[in-house]
Amino acid sequence: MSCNLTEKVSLLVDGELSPVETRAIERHLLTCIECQQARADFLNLRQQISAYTPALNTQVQQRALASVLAKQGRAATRASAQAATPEAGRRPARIFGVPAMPFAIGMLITAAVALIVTSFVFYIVFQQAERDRQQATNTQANSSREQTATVNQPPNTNNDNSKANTFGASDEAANGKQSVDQSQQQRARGPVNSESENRQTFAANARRVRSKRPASSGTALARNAGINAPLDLHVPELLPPHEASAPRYITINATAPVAAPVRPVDAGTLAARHVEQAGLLLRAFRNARTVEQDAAADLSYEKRRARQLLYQNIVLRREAANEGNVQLASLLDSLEPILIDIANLPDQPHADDVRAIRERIGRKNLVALLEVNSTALARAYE
Amino acid sequence: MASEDAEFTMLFQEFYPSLCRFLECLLGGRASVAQDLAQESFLQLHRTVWGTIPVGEARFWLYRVARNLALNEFRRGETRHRLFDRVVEALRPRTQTPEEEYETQERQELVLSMLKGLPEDQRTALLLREQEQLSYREIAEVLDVSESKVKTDIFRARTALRERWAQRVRAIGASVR
Repeated sequence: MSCNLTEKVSLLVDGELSPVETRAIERHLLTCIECQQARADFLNLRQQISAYTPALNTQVQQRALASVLAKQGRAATRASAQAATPEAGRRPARIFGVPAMPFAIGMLITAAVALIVTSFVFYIVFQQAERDRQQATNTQANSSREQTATVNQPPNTNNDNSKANTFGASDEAANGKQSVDQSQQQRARGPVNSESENRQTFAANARRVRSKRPASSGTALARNAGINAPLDLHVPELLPPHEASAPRYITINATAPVAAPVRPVDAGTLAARHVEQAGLLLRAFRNARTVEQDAAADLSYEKRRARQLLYQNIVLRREAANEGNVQLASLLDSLEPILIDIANLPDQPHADDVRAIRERIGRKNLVALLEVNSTALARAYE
Repeated sequence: MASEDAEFTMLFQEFYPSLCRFLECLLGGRASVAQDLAQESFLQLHRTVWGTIPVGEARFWLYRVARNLALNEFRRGETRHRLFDRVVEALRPRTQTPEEEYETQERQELVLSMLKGLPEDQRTALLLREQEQLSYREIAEVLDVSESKVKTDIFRARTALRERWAQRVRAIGASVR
């Protein structure tokens, strides 16, 4: 072999080259006969090696599974029996060098701990989602240039009845600074959604400011929370005329807060796990050997699992559609009818029905799609 | 516990055939030994780390253990009776015509014989890539080696197999003439 790029061809067929290197090698392949032959040979070898089928059948596989589970059960029984004997005190049973505890108690404790941890994790996740939602709303309120504030004014104020006050970037004053600090704290606490709340927070401060400072003009809108600025009493009419006589309250007209979505990491992790499990199910369904009389025994587990995954699929599909995750929604949409059909197979499915479902799985290339997406989702949300 | 057993069963149904295939190719076709070792790998998984690692990690763990068991088997030498392998072979499911079956068997024997000529680390890396479609990073994780070693092993394995395949094709062509 005289071409020194053959190793790159090997990486190319495995998809281990960067996009730049891939393009370079593909250009090279257009002119290098040797590398073209190498690629063809590598792909032929792949086909030969991957086509190898082991000497296995359903009965052997089921016996192997039963044997593994039985041996593990016997080991667990032995461990618990040893713990109960008088000799246990002298020499505690050890498994792989670790003192063994009664298997059942250990499993119960593990299950209880798992339940507590899971509940705690869900609690943390929901709390964080709530905080994120509020933070998103705050961010929008603070960054919007259209925040306005009005001050609750007593009816006998001459110049300001029809005016709304805004927080402006004008001269500092001690009282104004105090009122703005308080308003900043209010904004930091969250969006001001309730008019009565605004009233309580700002009305007294506004009155104090008005009594001490001359009104100044200005149309400056609220900046971010870091500006120490007094209330600007002379602002242009920001309210429609018909509202001029209505009491004015401190409001921050931020753009409507968008409901913070579930943290992408959490939804992504759930989706990755679901896609992985669905991929495992379809592969098991595809690979299950259906001898006529064993069809029911072979597929009852797959049916049960399909039913479980179906509900999850529906929820995740809807969520993906709401979030605009077209790729995931499309994948789950393709998967759903397959899960439905597997779940609805009769207790004694006909081989033709099973074959039809498998063909659909094959036509849609679902197993490969699920595998690729499972890996991609898991890596994205690591 | 029932759900853990159910998940383990699903993992078993999914990966037991793949593990058997990997071990058969690694061991040069000793199907009964391959099945025993595959069974042992799952048993060790269930006993030790099952429930403590993600399902995706369990797959890599299985291949790591299976490969180590195969290495032990190499060191022990061929202690299994060939007769038992023939019994297992007799139980291989028959879905083809006799002619197709003969052809498949010939092809599989050829693959096994060519793989047998490779060093163990090259053979393992190539099988994990071609049969299990693991990435180089994943293969490196399973074998506990660097990615560059995986890259080199796979390329060398392919290069060697290319040569042998070409020689075999030439030999067949010569014998036909």
